[in-house]
Amino acid sequence: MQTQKDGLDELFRPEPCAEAERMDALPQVSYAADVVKRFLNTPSVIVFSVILAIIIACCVLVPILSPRPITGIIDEAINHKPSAEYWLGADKFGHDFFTKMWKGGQTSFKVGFFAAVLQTLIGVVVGAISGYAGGRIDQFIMRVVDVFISIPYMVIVLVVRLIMGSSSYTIIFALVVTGWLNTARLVRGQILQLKNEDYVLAAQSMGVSPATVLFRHLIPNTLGVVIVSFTLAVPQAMFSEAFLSFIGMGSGEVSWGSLIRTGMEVRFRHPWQLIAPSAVLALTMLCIQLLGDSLRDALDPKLRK
Amino acid sequence: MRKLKKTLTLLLTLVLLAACAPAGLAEDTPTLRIGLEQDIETIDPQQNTSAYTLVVTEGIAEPLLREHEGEILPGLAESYTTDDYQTWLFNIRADACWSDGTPITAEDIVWSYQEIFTRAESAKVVVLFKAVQGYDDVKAVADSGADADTIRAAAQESLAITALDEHTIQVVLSAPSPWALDTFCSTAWAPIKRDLYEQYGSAYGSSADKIGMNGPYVVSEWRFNEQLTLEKNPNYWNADNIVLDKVELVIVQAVEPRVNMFKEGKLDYAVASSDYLLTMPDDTEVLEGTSWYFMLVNDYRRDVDGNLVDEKLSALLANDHFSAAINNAINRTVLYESVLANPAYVATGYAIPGAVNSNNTAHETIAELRDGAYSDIAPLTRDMEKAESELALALAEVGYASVADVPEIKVVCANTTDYETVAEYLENALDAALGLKVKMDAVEFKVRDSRVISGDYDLLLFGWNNSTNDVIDYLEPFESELFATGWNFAKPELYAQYSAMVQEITSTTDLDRRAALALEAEQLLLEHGPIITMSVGGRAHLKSDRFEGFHVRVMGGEFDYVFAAPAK
Amino acid sequence: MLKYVVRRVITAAITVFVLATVTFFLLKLVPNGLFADPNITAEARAKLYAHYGLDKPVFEQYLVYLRNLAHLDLGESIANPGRKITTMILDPATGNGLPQSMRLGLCALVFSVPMGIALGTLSGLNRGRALDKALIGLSLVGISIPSFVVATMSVTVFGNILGWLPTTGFSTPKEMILPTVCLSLNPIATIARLMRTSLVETENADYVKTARSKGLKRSRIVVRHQVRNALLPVVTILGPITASLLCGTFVVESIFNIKGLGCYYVESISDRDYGLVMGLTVLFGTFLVVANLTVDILYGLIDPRIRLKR
Repeated sequence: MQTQKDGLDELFRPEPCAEAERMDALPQVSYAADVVKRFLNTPSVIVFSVILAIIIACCVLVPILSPRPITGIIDEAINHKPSAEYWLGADKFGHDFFTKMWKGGQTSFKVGFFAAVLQTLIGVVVGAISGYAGGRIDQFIMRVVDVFISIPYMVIVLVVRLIMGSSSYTIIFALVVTGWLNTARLVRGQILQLKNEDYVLAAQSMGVSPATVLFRHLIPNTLGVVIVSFTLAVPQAMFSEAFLSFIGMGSGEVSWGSLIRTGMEVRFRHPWQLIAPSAVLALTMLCIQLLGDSLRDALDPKLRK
Repeated sequence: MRKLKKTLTLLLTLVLLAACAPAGLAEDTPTLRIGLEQDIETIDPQQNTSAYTLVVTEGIAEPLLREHEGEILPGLAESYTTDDYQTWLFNIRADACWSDGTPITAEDIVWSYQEIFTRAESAKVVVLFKAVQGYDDVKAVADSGADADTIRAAAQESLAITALDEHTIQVVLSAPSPWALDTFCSTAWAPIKRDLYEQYGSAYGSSADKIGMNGPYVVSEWRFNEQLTLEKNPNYWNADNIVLDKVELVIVQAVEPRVNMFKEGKLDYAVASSDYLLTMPDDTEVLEGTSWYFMLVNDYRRDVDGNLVDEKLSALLANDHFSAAINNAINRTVLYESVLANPAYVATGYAIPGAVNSNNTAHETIAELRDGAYSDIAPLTRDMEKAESELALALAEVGYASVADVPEIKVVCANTTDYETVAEYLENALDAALGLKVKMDAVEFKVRDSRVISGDYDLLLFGWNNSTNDVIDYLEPFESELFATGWNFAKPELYAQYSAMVQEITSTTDLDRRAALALEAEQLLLEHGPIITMSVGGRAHLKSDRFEGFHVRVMGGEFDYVFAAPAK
Repeated sequence: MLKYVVRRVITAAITVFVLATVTFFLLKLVPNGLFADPNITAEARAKLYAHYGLDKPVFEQYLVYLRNLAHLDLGESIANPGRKITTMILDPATGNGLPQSMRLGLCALVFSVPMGIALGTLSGLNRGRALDKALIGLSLVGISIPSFVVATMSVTVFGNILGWLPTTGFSTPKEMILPTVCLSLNPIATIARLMRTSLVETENADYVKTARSKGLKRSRIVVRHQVRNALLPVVTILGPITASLLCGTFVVESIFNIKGLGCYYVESISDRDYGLVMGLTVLFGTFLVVANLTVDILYGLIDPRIRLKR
């Protein structure tokens, strides 16, 4: 027996390995932690997160800290060229363009963020209900989505604007009305896949209420897709806001879109007033899109090493 | 094979033709290409008076008389006589005809003038007959919703325009008016072709084949939203003096491509942006004083049931000291020279002073008379102390404890950058100077217009250009139901006084008296009424040197190309 | 398969019908700014209402509208009296409107689809390498800059400053370059990104592993197996892309003065030209539904899994 045992030990002698490597091999890293780790491991993510953070910080802080006013009429600064005092020059009201640009960013971010949050929420709930309920309800909801997706969003904006007047909330509302459709489709697709999983069937057979199954088990599992679609919805909404401001159907508040619109008019005399807001808008889009992409890659279990 | 042969022959002919053309005598003149900013909706002279549709109708429709460079030229009428400026006799030329050669008689013309009252779509133009005796009666019938036959009967009976014989038309005005000559030159006084009109009804003028033309040019092709091609009308009575064979009116809505097309030689004339004017002034010609911009204060804002929305705020807005405060808180010079930076100048009064007038000098007189006269009402620069003290007076009179109690004031304007800039200026300037919270509400033109009608605004930015340059056209609108939606209720005595003045201006023939009255009426409304005058706008035009005899002008169509010729 | 197609076609037809209905009543919700010309008296306005049949009860208007729509006749434009809306959308005499937009859209489509697929493939095959990173970067830039900025900048740079290309019109090949490129940037970037992602996903697919283990040449695997399979998701987004490209774009058409449908999207709304708004909405909706339907059916034909399931 003894010899036999020894022989087995000999046979199954563990391969010597470094401690660290052993830790790595342990399947104890949670999915979330892994996602975060892989997300942060991409060098470009760090770079673009920092840029985005700087942009957001500027939007928040510059209008507060800037010594240059952006209200009232400052006669002596009107159409000032860029200088040490006015970094990007001053606009037709004598407002410091640098400060005003970041003020405009507040509107853009406000619209982008709130529109994205609301449309994602609505999209998730409707999509989940549609996918989980299945049958006629699903059919009906999906047909409604089909119809709404075919209405050009300009029409919706027109109707909403005329009823609610022009403000950034109008724009947010209009964007939400048109924006939730894609999220709903996406989430529905996910739920359809997930609802036949064992743990869902188990929960159902234990008599857990459908609402609990939906909100406890199904929706949390679609989170990855939802987060990605959210990160794409933010720039989409910012883009739409810029476009609407550009064609004069905007919120009436200073935003990057409205600054680009006026910049367009004065581009021969003050090219910076067109270039600067365009560049900041594009850079912000770039950052958010790229972070969204990396997040998607990080969340994708198939790409897990 | 035969087909090929045919094609070859055709090709050969074409080549030969092309080769011959330069040598031939009937060489075409170069095509004048004008860039228009908006799509032309109709070319019916009885339908539209906006400056951009007039560009077309003035080329294809011949009214009784024609205006060119401030001179009154003969039109359909080869001459006119009047003894008292009230009864006018027009001698219609014997060879007057449509472009297809059909003659135009005095009866046809009179019929056209009567028919205009039956047309709902001509509502904007019909006002150009206002000076004619009997206009009010016919208009009342038309406005009562009567059917076309009733209106026609009323027009035949009451409208004092008659054909005395085949070549004589008599027009009797309700009061002597030497400046009615301007009106006779407007294309609303051009006839419409009866057979086509009866065939097409409201679609008359909606395409090149659905309209009769009798002007120097005819529309040979109308590509909607793209371009109108005008060709010389060989049957035009004055065809010998028309040089150009072809004029193209190209529709380019956005300013960037318009400027680019001019640079690329695809356009000879175009309206430029003011930014372009400031950076490249060499190519441009500035037309000053095309339109007047002002702010209207709603003294009496009501809801749909006619009740005051906010009694206290309305009282404040109606207060003279409030208007004075705003007038003094705005730096008009800075606003127009630096902020808008377009070819505008500050308006202290409201009849446009720089316009060409055809046969009298009333306007120049007015401009000279009031020179600087209202600078205390609508000052050129701001006076903060005065603004503050006036606002304090207004607040005290109305009963607001402080400016913070005044609710947000809504300023309605159209959503073009210029209007928005002025509104934004007001937001900033009034807040900084007076602490007044003003909020811009920029809406599409249609929405703005419906707000004007329903009186749904506190402050309104508005501008217009008139189709004739008579001082009465600037005074009268404020008496009419259009802009008298509020202040006539809030200030009935002032309204009665102003109304009486306007009536007298309409009826007097004494030029000095007229000018003095106009000045007085203008001042009255500026001081106590709902008007805060802002600016007289101009426009920058790009102009190539390939043509001469071409003008941009203030009244009527923006481009007067009728007698243009290639530059030598 | 036939049953599937028939069912899809019926659903599509119903979608268009519901869309037409929803748009109609949506626009009836809007407070009216029609004929709001200050110079028009109330009576004249009433006459105009009657002329356009707007004085009838809403439901009756709806029936008239549906009947007209069935005859492809949307009535007269309000902003352009006497002009048929159908002629404005599709002008047979001049080829303006939809045909012009489709010309531009087709150019952009023909340019952007192969370009997007090629760039996406290139990027996916070189995953992680410098070329891939450069292409990803470029495509991100492509979707990050708003079209109105791209169009203005390219006009300013290539037209005004360098003078290489004409900046207006769309008739000669030279004139077509700038608008096509401006319009194509976004679709190229979108397609390239999607292509890359789905190509990368095929790397680990069983059929690729099998093909590799069989010892097939890499080029053969890439072309025969990976690219073909990776194209499937790309095909699905071609529906919306095609519809939006062909139905006209406001910014590009306005900046290059191309007489397509683009200008009407904003103009009809500012003018309250409801007939035109409805016409455009139904047109766009129909294009979208038809494009999606075509894609679905194509997809069913290409993808054996779907074909067999039905």
